Amino acid sequence: MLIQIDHIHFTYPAGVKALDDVSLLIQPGEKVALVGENGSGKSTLARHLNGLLRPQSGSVWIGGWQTTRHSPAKLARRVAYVFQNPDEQLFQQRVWDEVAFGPQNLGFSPEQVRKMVEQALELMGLSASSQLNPRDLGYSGRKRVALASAIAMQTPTLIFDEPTAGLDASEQEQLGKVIASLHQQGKTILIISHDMDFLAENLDRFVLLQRGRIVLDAPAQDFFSQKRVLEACGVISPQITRLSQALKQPSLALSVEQFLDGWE
Amino acid sequence: MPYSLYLPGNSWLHRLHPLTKLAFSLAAAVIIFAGPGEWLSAALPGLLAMLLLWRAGLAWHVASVSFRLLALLSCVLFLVHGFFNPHNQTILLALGPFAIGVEGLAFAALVVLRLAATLFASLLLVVATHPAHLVQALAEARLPYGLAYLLGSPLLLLPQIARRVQAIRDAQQARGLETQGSLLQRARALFPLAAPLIFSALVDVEERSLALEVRGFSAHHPKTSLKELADTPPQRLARWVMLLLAGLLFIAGVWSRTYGGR
Repeated sequence: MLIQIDHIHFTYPAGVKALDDVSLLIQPGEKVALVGENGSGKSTLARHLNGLLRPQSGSVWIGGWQTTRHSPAKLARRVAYVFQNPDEQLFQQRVWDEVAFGPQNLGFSPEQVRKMVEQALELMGLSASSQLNPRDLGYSGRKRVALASAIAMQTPTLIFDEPTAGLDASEQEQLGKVIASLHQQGKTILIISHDMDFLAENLDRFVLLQRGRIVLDAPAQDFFSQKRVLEACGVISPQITRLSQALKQPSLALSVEQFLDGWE
Repeated sequence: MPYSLYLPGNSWLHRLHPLTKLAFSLAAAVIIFAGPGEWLSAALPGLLAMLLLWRAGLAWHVASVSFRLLALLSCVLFLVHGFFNPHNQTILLALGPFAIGVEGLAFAALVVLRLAATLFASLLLVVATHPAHLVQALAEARLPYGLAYLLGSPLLLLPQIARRVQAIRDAQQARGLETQGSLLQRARALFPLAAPLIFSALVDVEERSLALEVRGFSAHHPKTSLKELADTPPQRLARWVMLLLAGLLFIAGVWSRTYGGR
């Protein structure tokens, strides 16, 4: 589903200019990272995609729907959003019910809801925990429930806000596989994160924001080769990429595997 | 969206000692609900509070907040008591099988007046006193610091709770929950919105108490205050006078209600 952002501006009531003439076109099936320092406008931009924020000028289109003409609840059919803190959404007594909440809101049939929930639980490795109370899970477990809740809605676009926060290394690796699986299904994926290692390994396109403006929009390899721009915006490349740069490898490595390929 | 009722400023009301404003609010509440002569006791403290707020340039803000809080409740009170108060005898207007009674309307008006007056007197404290200064003032008045913090914490935590309410609403809307629309839709949205707030508030209580303890909250030696709260002998006297007056009017109110009808 095509996402089209045309010259949007947004200033918070306190006077903070969060977005300043931002335009972006995201093709269906892209894996895009939104990066930048805290306060650069990443979350504000992402919240425009599901109608939680409305542009004060310009427009946002999600597959032909202009976001200002639909409620966030209606836009939830097209864009699922996973917030950073899972505790701000969990309220059911069972993991299963929590994951079913979104599909139920979207009006799927009971049979479809069951299927969507089972698939999401399996993808997030939560099938064995489906009857537990989400509050009895650890933070990373609750985080995975929140991720499953969004995945279960089977929207064409998914937005993840700091999805790796609170996950250990193996859970991060599992999340990478989930993203690859969703990508194979043709989903558009947007991730807001400061975890450059995770982003470099799993996403293809990087959009860098600074003070509410897009300063760089490039494929992963080109993005991390722009050392000066990244430094000016407070972005630190993954360690393996910096090592690859220091060794002047002909092809910039974004993962250990790529580095070893270059080494050979 | 404002997250706190406190309005930063430097008016004479802001500069008053927090305990002076607290004493006024407490005395007003006692007089409003327990003073003799129901209407006068309800009206005078409210009028006085508004006068003080007007002198400090805060009356419009307080009136606007109070209107938002009381408008719907007032309508409901007038409707319920107008139609269904058991003491209704004088019929003002008959609408088919229903009738609006003067006694019910008068009772509703008294309740609304009391609520408005209490709100004005309470907001006089809240809009012109930083919550941390209130806690400090209570602690300096030899109240145990834990108790002072407990009394001030609803005001201290209000901004945080408001932000969390907004975050929860965003998260549930992103999952397709309609929070606007018909009464049924709003009622359906209540549990998914309230439950995460309550759960996280309970978790916060434990985390907050631990965070306070590890930073020496319960230490027995005196705490350092970075701001000196100005207090004056006339203010100290005014506090005692207000509380004494409230006590006397409370006794007079009890007396008049007990023996007034004889």
